[in-house]
Amino acid sequence: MERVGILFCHCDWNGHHDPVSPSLIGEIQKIPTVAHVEEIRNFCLQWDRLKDLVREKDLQGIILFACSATLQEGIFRNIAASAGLELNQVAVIEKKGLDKSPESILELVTRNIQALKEKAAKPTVATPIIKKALVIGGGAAGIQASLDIADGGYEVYLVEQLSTIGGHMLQLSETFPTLDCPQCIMTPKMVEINQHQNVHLMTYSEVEEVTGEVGRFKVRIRQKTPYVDWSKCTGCGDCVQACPVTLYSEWDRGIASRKAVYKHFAQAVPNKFTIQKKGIPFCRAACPIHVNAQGYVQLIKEGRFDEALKVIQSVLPFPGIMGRICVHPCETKCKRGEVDKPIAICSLKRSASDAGKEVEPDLTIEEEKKEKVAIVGAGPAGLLAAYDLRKKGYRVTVFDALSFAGGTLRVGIPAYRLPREIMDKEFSILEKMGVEFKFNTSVGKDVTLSRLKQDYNAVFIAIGAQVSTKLGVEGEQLKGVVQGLDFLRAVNLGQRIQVGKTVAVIGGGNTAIDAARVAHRLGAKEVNILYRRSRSEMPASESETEEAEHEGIKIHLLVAPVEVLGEEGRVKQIKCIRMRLGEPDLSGRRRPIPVEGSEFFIDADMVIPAIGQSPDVALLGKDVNIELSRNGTIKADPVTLTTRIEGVFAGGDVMSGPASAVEALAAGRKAAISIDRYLQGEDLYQGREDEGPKDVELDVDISKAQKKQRAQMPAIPLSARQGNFSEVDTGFTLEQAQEEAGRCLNCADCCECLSCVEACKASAIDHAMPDRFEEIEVGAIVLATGYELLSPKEIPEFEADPDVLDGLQFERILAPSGPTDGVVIRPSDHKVPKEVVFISCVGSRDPEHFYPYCSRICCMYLAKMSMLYKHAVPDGQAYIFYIDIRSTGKGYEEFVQRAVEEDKVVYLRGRVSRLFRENDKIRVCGVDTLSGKSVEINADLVVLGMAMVPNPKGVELIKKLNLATNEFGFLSEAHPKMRPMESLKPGIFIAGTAQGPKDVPDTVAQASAAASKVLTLFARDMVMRDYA
Amino acid sequence: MPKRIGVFICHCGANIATSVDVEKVVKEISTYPGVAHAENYIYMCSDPGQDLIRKAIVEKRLDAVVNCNCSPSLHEKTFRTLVTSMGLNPYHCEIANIREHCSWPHIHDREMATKKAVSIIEMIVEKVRRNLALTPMVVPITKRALVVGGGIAGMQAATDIAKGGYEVILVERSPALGGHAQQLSGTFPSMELVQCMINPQVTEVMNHPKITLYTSAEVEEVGGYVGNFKVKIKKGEAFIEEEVGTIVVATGYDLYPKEKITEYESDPDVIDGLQFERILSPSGPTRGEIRRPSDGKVPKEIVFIQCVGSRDPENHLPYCSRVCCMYTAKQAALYKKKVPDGQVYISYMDIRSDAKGCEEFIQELTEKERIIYLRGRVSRVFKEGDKIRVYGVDTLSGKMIDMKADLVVLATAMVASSGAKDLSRKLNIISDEYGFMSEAHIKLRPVETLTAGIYLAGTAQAPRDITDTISSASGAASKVLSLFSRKELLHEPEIAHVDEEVCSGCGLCVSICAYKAPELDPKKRVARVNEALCEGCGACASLCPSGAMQHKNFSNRQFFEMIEVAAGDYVELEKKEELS
Repeated sequence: MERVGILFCHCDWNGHHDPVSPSLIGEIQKIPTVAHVEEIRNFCLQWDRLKDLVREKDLQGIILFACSATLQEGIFRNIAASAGLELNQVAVIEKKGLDKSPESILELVTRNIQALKEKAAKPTVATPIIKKALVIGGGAAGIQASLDIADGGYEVYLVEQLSTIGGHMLQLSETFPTLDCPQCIMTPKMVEINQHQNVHLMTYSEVEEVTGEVGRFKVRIRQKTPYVDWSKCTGCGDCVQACPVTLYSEWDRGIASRKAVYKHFAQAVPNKFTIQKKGIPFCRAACPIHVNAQGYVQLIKEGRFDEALKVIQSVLPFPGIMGRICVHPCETKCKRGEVDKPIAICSLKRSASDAGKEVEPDLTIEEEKKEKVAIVGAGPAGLLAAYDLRKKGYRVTVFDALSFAGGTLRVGIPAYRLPREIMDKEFSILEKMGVEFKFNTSVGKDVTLSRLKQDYNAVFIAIGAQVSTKLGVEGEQLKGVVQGLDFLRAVNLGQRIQVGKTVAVIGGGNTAIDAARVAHRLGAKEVNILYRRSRSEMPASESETEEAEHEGIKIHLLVAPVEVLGEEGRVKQIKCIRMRLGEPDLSGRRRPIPVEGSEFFIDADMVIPAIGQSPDVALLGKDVNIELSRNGTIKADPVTLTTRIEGVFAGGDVMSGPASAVEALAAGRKAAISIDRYLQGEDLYQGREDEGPKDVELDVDISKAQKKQRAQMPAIPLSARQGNFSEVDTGFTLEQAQEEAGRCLNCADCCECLSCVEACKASAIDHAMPDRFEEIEVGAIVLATGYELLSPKEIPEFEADPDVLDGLQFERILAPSGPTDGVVIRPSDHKVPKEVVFISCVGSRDPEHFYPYCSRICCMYLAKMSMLYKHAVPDGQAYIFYIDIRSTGKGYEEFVQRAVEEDKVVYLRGRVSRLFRENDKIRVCGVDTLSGKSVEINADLVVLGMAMVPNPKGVELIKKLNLATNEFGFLSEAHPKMRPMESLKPGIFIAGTAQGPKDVPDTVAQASAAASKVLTLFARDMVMRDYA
Repeated sequence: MPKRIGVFICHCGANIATSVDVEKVVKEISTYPGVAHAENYIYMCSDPGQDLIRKAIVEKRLDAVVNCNCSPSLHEKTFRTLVTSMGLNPYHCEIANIREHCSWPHIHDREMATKKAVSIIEMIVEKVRRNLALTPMVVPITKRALVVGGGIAGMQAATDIAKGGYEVILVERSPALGGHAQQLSGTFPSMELVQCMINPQVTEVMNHPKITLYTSAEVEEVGGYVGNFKVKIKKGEAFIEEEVGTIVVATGYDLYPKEKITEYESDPDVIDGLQFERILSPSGPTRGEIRRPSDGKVPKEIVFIQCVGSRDPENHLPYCSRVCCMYTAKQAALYKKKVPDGQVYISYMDIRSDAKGCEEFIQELTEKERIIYLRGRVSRVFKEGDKIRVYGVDTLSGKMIDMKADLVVLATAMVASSGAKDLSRKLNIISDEYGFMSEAHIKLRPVETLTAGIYLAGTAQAPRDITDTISSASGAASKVLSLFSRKELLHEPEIAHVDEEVCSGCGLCVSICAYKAPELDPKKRVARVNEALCEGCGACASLCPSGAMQHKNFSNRQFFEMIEVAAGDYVELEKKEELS
């Protein structure tokens, strides 16, 4: 490059474009390659001169100092091209913000000449354009842009994050100024999109990543799983009928609710259903065997008790038992507890079991297998292992020293808590399934463990923990001291027991409470429970403790026995000491510390210690060398329950130490999985991290939940309890159960009750369906990500109230296709509002508190809504508070005139300072700046014209694409006047409200304009770039 | 002839179902002769609605369909496409408009509306029964576009189409390109020189190999139809004939003449917005120096008056002129830059700064430049000595205003450019009562007209600013590019047709036709119709004294049957009323 021209535009307009001094021009002329230097006044007025200059001065390169590189470089290059210069022979330097000292300019010129020379040495690179476009956002803008590009003959990928296209426009009632209904004018376009051969519609999808540049973008798209196979879904809606879960409807903006399986509106395109899931709910995750609590609670809410029971039975074959005695860790984790009280999940399980008496449990065996499994111990761990293994087809034999199944459930828990017939019924299914029981058979005595090892392919030891822990105080050997477990066992086995008049029970667990209540029932006049810590540390369930007190049992807290005192070898008194609580110990509970000198005496002719228990492994004999841990439990792998001995597994209390029934069940299940894998020769460890209770994280909005009482369990009167073991709790009534279930917050959205799977005739539903990813290549991208409304929650001076709505909420109420079928009622009490106040500029035009910008459409939609309201409620009155009425579009001014004249809408110029609920009304306080008077209106309903903000999902995407926005997140255009549909990145175009608030016609026009830019780009075959 | 007709009644949400008892209509119409099936649905146009029709066509073996819903302008195409996909002839699908023609006008009389709906549907059933199965004619597309108007809208549309690869004929009435934008100083809200923005484009248009530019030229005559327009352009004394496939109308605006504002005294120092733009413009007569016209003095107090001639339904025009609030604010800002000690008063009704960045612009301006906004109308403007006296009222304080200004700038309303009415007549497109061209649908088809192949760009359609003008111009270009991407066009076959046996060759049809479709066969002395030119308006058929000229699918026979059905009901009603 030998001859370069340096041109300065001397702009009469902008101050920052100072004239160049003659001396600087002289300096530049001295640069060898510079053939011409000129300052041209208002060069933009005489672009034509460029051609002449190139010819006259025989220029091979040009450097132009001008005002705006973004606006002029492209055009300047085109003109230079027409003068015969290549793309790589021209450069535009933006003068704005330049250091204008002569040295600096001189340096800049030298540097740019060098750059031009280097560029000229390289050939211009041309890359072929991939003539496919991506449109992001399926609202009015995205639909229009897609259709225009597709009609122009090019393929379009239309990506929409919701499961339907249509956008906010479809939420509207009618549109100003012609009062057309959006459904009528939009659905044909939606149908056209769906049927257009050039359009690839990808709803429920999000753009994950964009790389590349104009002409050749690579885009990674995530198709979120709808858990419904859309190729099979017919859109019939049977699943919606089946779904018990009711959720907030974002489409109806909370005015109505929808099911967890949903379609946003009847005319959705595509006409397919989607299931909304968040994951595993807290309750289900907390359960050691993951009983689907949300699932059955939801079905109970709907009165579908039989189905609820089936949901339970699919995981837990003993619902009647566990519905009574489970320690329900699910309730501890229940999110509802943060609102008021947890859902009575356990008792609802019982309700399902009680109501579903006719439901036949599923006893089918998967496939008979020849392997034999021996289970030692017919407690909960052993029985569930037997059930699971038998289901899989193994030949299972259960050994127990007692003459019946149930273990501790039967000998440890009194019948008034767990009636025997319930156990009989639920355990009987095992025999029906073909599980063999060998009762009255002590392993270690009647049959050796090594024998079992020989005769069976696998052995599961689940003998529980049956040895009571000693008190360790003087006098424990006295007559009248009976261990809690022994006492309960004797009673439960029907042995006659003489209880004392004054009974002292020591301990704070369920065994202690059970023993106390049993003693009371058997005639003890006075029963005292001594517990060494405070109430909140008591391991016994709260309801049990309450019932015990209700029955007249006294609980002495922070008291520990020091010595049992007797007379003639019989118990007479207990010497106690008071305790205080110190620092937390290993169990996490605060350690009790004796208070010196606080000793006192309690009379007792019977003492029942119930402070703990441990396993007695010695019973199993010594023929097999089982490894024990320090506290006497069997040592087994915590993940697989394998012991040191091949084929022998151990679980439940015997391995873990004393725990709850549900934990024992979990151990049984774990053992069954391990044994199955062991017998099938599979890996025992793989993929087992989901077993057992776990913590989950779910985002649950509890702000909308209204406080509601937890259901009270009905019980038989005290008078009916004495001297018998009739069941105390009578169970919820059906109505009670349904109402209680109705308190559930549906933390996980879909409750996975699987009713929909059964209901779907097309077999389209798959709850395990994963997300899919697709990579596409496109030459151009149109961003049409749209808007959202600022949440009214952000406005502290306006009290949150069900009758204070945002514009889109009121649109849903007005819409004929909306949840009220277009009948105008207010949400709180469904009354027809007779006075409605509309407030403009909420959050907009308010630089001190919120956004300074004008939201552009609110004036018109409030006018429209006030008019529609008046058409629906002719005797109602509408007020509109406004700052300026902005009705600038075609026919808009006339429309507002009509609202005022025909519909008598009262426009009040001024801001509303406060609004708050006053009984039945909402008090709106403001000022009318025209009359200068303050205004107070007692409204039935208030509608806020909330500011438009960019769609938050769109903002995320825009950040990902590294595109410029203004401070509010609206996309910046390449030039606000001349290139409003282009972003600052070549090949990425803008349509609609992603750029700034605008109404539908402006949105549609701009969308077509963006399409035009795509079409002109695609009219070329190559993108030219000056460097590789 | 169709024998098994299906009738599908749409609720249109509540639009139809509120005033028409759709269930009852279904019941009544299903027993009507020839009706093989009738049903109703909330939105017939939606996917599930269309599925119902598909299913019924198959299951009930329908050979014709009557869709009872909104105006055919909205959904005739939707449903005809649908029936075609099911193997039916599209002209065996008709729309019974029971919304605009029935449910909307009779919203307060459900019983009558229901009755009328039945009657309308019966008429259409009678019509469709005798509809011919027609096939659209295939016509080639001339892939060149005409753009009328060389302002920013016309230039933008022209460059987009040219860059899209097609030839463009650009016709501009004045000698130069750029339109009113060339007269402007800076732009709001970014305060750039307009020339900087538009001159690159002027140069581009002038140099683009695909653009043929006719300046000082006007469209004289337009014939033909979409894909094949014939345009006669008058340039000076010469006429140029061009063939184009599409036309973009970008004829722009004028200002409402301030002479019509009789309440304000005419004075050299009472000027309109464009005049003040010339004073502000660096390329203007004062080279950007602020001088008032009467004596060249620097005005120290300026009053801007908004909504002059606009938003004034009693005296002038009812509509809002959209750009005045912002250009006034911009002018005030520029004035303050040049005359920092000057004072600006702006009399306004509502400040309409709703475009991106505009509200912020005004807020900053009022704070920084101490511009006084007075909410209210100015009642009188008159000269008093060296000053212009301005009387008005500030509705916020409720006080009278009496100002002595050096210069008064009137934001007079934007009106359609002169000749717009004339052009819309030549193009056979609709314009509103103010001369602005009408779009096909105000919400969803803002750049199209109801005449196929003719599109709108910029202020020819309504007042708007540069940004929106550019969008609409590119939008119009997009429509042109889409159309040109097709291989050919289909021409509507519902057109005139001559029964040569009956025709007497009187030639009335030739004289009435606006499209020059019929001609007389000199040998046979009968009329012939050039099918490609016939737009199916029906003028010839209604005029033909012998009944030889018939409109396909709008035959006299069909009309008589329809009238009989409708009148039969009427007679019945009259009897009923007499009895009661």
